[in-house]
Order: sequence, then C-alpha cells, then structure tokens
Amino acid sequence: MSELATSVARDSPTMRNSFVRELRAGVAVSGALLLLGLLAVAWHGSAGIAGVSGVPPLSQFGTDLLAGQAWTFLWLGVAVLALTPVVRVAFALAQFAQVKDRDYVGLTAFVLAVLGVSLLVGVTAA
Amino acid sequence: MSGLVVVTAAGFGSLLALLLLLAVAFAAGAVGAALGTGGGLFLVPALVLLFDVDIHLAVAASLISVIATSSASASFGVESGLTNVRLAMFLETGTAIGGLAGAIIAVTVLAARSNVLAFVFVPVVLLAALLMASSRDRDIDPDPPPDALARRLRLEGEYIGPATGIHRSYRVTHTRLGLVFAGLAGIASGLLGIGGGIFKVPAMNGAMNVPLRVAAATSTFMIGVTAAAGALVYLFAGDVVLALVAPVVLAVFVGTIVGRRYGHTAPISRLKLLFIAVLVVSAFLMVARGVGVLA
Repeated sequence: MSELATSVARDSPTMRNSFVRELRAGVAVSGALLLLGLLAVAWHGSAGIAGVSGVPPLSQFGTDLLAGQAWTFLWLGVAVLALTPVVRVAFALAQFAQVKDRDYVGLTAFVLAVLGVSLLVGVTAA
Repeated sequence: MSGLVVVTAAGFGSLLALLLLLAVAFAAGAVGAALGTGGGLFLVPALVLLFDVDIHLAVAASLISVIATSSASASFGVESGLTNVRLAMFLETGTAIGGLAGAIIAVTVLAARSNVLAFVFVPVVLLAALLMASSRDRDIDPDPPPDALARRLRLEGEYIGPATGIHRSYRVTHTRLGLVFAGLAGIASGLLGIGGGIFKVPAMNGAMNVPLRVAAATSTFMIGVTAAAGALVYLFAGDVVLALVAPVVLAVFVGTIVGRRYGHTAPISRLKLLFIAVLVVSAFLMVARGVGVLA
C-alpha cells in the first residue's frame, strides 16, 4: 500500500466505511461470478458465448441460468461490476438524505439520474 | 496484425491469443495502479492493434476494466482518509454527464465510423503522454483565491503526508474550472474507454489547489462512476463481448492488486518513461492502421 497517510476526515466515517465495504463486496461478487462463468466455459466449451451480449431475453436468461449456462454468469459478473459505482452513489444519496444535507442530496441525485439515463440509452440503442 | 484473434463467432480463439490477452490486461492493471492512471489508455490500442478488435468493442471492454481498477483500488484511499469524498461527489456530476455524452456520440454519430474514433484517440493519447511527461507535484497554495462554491460545499480537506508525517490542510479553489475539466475528461472517457484520471489529476492538482496524492486517490474513486456512465450505455446496447471482457476484468483485478502491493517499490520514473513510450508508439500505430499502412 502506497498511501500510509491518515487524515482527520471531515466526512462521516460511517459513509466512508459503507463505501469501502460496498466496493469490496462488488469486486468479490463480480470476480466470483466471472471466475465461475469461465470455469463453466472450460467445462462445457465456449460455443455460443462470443455472440451473447447486451440485454438477454429475460425468459431465456432464467432458464439458461438454471441450466448453468456460462454466459449468464459472465453477464451477471459484468453487470454487478458496472453497477458497483451506481450502488455506491445510491448509498451516498441515502446517507446525505438521512442527515438532510440538501446540497449533497442534490449532487448525488443528479449523478444517479445521469447513470439511470445511461442505462436507458443503452437499452434503447440495443 | 490480425493473426491473434482472441474471440471468434464460436467462442475463444487460440490459447496463445488468450494468454497474451491475459498478460496485456494484467500489465494494464498493474501499471495503471502503480502510476494511478488506470490502464484504459493502454488497453484500447492493445485490443485494436494486437487482437484486431473493433474499436467500439475495445472501448466498451476498456470501460468495464476501468470500473474494475477503480473498484478494486479506490477503497484503500477512502479507508485511509486520503480521498476527498466531497470533492469527488461534486466533480462526478461533470464526469458522469460527460461520460454519458461521449458514449452517446460513440454509439450514434460514430457507430459506423470506427476510423474516425481511432483518429480521435490519437491526439488524446498524445496529450496524455505530454501530461505524464510534464507531471510534477505542484505545491499547494496555503491561501488560494476564495471560492464561494468550495466553501458552501465544504470541499476543504486535510491529510498527513505519508513521507513527512506533516499535517497539511488545503483549500479547494477554481471549482467551476475544475468542473469543466471533469466534463471534458468524462467525454474522453465515454468516447475512448479511458478512466480520464490522467486529465483529472493535473486539473485537481494544478487548477484546484488539491495536493497530488489526494488528487490521485480522489480520481481513482471517481473514475468508477465516470466509466459507469459510459459503460452502462455499451453494456445494455450489447457492445460488451463477454468472451473478451471476462478474462480481461479478472486479469485487471489481479494486476491492480499486484500494482498496489508492489507499486511503491517500482522505479516510478522508468515506469513513466515506459508509459509515455507505449502511448506514443500506440498513437503512431493507430494512425498507420487508420491510413491503411497496417492492415
């Protein structure tokens, strides 16, 4: 670790801890799903996964997931990773709302809204 | 240059290509973490030039890997108190909207124009190399010009210097200029698949009076959201090729951890030179490929 600096942080330690836990959980879950997916590829063979991306049809996703299809694990792993920063912003919004910090509720709500628009633009462009 | 196809219509290409892909992603993660820039600047040209991946798909893969780098390393800065969380939340408004705009441009106007995108990449890469070459730890001003927005948002901070043990506090200034830089870094991120830390760190350190180490930690924290604004567009638009992204992300995770663990023992000035050299060479190769010298 290169940063040994500590500081008298002016942000709430609760919020910092929630970020640390959330980021580490996101990395762990996403990494586990990707590893599982690649092991499934090694076991079952990789046929079919190259073309699969984007939003899968929900019905097919469910049955494929239960059948242990590799692509469902890989897609979930990538989705969990992509949503990790989004959840972090949502955590911040909730905690700023709790202490009624209006400026930061506004800033974090704006960022969350932009990320929501990103998702919608992607779905529409698909 | 198209011999190493890592992903085919049927799944993975050759084992050699897969191993080389893992090595490149590991290096991007490790060097990115050691220098605090993220590995996106290497990954896109590497995927395009070595593996013949379409630049749009390379950008999408790179954005996902930028989120991997950020999520895996940002928690350390947050935990130690180095990251200025408030400043990150403020600047994220700019980087998120920029990231969204960049990704929209890439999937609409430039959707069928991979060559144009490749040419946009070149000046940005060269600018990044220039910034890296001229980067230095600019001393912070103990009494910067007053900034009403910084005061209202309580953007000031303090930290204890890791080498010196000296307690330092700093006051943030030029918030509006910083927000403009954040927006531009966001556009570059969504369009080109980079985290944009290479632009955010000098903007925070040079314009906003933030100490370099705080700027680097805050940038690492922010690039996850910056990249997500673009990545969500690509992911749900179907531009994320799982067979490409899954091994890249896993290798970037490992690279990031190794880069963080051993980064301080690495010869940083030589790493920087290597970084600059790779950027300049990849910019040159992207041009050569774009004009048809390299098929």
